[in-house]
Amino acid sequence: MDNIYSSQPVKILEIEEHTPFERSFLIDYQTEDEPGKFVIVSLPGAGEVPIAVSRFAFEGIELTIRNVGKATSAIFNTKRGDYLNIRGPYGNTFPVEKFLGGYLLVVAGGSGVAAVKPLIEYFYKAEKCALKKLDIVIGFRSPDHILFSKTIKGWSKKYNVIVTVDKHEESKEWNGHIGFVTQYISYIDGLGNATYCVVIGPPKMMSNTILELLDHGVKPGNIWLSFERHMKCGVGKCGHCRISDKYVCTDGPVFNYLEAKELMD
Amino acid sequence: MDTRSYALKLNSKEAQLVFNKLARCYRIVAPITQEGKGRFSETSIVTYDEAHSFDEIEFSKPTFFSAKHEVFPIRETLFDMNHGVVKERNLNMKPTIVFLRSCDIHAMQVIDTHFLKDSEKQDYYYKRRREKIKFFLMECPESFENCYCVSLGTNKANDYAVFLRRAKDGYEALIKDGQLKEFFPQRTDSIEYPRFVKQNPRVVAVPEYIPVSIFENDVWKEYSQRCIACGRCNTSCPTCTCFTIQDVSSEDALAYARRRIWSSCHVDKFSLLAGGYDFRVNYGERMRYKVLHKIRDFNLKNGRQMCVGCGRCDDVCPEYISMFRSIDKICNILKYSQENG
Repeated sequence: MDNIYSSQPVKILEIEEHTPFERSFLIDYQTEDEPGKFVIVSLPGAGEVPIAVSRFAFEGIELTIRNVGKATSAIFNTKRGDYLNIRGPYGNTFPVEKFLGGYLLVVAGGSGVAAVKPLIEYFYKAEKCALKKLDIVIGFRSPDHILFSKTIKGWSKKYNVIVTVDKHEESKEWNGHIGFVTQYISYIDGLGNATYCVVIGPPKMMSNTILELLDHGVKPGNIWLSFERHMKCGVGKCGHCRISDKYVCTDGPVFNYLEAKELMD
Repeated sequence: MDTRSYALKLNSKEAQLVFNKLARCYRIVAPITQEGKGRFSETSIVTYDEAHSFDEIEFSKPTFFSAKHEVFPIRETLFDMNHGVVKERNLNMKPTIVFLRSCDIHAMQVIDTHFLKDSEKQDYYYKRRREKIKFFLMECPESFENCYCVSLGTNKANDYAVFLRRAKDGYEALIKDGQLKEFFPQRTDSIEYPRFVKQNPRVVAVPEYIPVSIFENDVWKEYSQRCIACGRCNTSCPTCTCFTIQDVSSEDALAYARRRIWSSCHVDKFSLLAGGYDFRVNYGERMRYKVLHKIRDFNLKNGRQMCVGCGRCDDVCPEYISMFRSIDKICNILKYSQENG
């Protein structure tokens, strides 16, 4: 019988530092290009953590990790050529097929950008007609917390991209937008019942964004969310990520808002 | 009744022979009275432990904790990793017989559903242990004080290997499991089939449909004042299966053991994200999370109630919080809102 908890050692090909707390690890792990999925990463003695795939590359997958706990700080001590233990990928994906040919708005906050990046890249790399229109609103805590600035710059050549920071210190240079992502929803042209939306970020940011979108006439059934929860197993057994009758690891992490609004933590 | 099953009357001597034969192949775990080990001085407690004779088994009192740890240990080492090489821990476990009451047999079915239902994602460690365990049914001629099994339909059970009853001059048994027939005398007697509880002192109508509006009802706020988040209700519950993972390191930084241990949705950090965000800070919210899992969410997912009405959580709560009363309150709230639109 297969052991659902066994992982395999995977070589780190490249490490890219975004901020002192956030790094991307490109690892030699081959999977299908399925935006939305996550893997469970572990290191001997440090435990396991669920990490969203932030890029599906030819060489492998990229994981963008924030150094906030025991496992992640151990991962931060690795260098190129070291090994991480990986199992997965787990979870469902964004409904890419559904979005094709339509109008999509992506609203992402903080490290949530990492989880939605493969979705945007999927369209970015695709033929011109993959989407009629793509708007992207991204919020970070401060200019120091900005991730993927080069990639985002690339997107803005093709799509309407708004990057905003919650606050910034006067002493630091920042010419961009200031304020929460919700303030910039009304800057988006043509929001309405034909718009598909993907919202991902901290819980408060997600709920406020949804209210704003509904106010702008977006249909509840056209909103998709990606949830982040405490997880120990990734396979629907440990119970930590359960919300009502759904397990975020196996039934999610992507939920349609119609389903999500019936779920209470 | 299964035609292949057969009934037996065993005198004391025969019963001891059967026990000895079984004990050679099986570890026999049953409710045992632990003298002087109760919560207060000079009191005893009934807990699951290894039995050394049928006579030692406590047939007439409920156990403080369930036998859940037999199928799902409190701590279980999954594997060792030594310099990148993973080595599964072998399961050195003698096949085991566990004596259960009807409600606890249902509880085992709930755990089986959770760990084994999805054939592609069966839990390897649970399955290999569970395959070595057989259940013996003990009857409850009468309900205990805090039980509400009849309300949850767990008062009757069919899924057992052997039924055993202590009788006047020995024991009466009903053998259903073909593998165990060789351990018993080969003859047939007539006995009264297992008697199941028909009514409990506590009755509650578990609502079939619980709308999502109940999540935001004020009923949960009271528990924020009373609950102290000790998690006793989770550890005593025969159907709670949440676990957490720990890596236990050795002096050698590249050698460690990964184990899983029970975890509790009432205790801090259960839903805490690494960034510091917690989804259920108030204890009342944790009570809601647990209660609605037991009587709503598990049922939505698996088509059966998770709570088996054993009443153990009510018995162990240091704050006298009652699961039964909580279900009853929900039932009344729903009834009231139905009647008043």
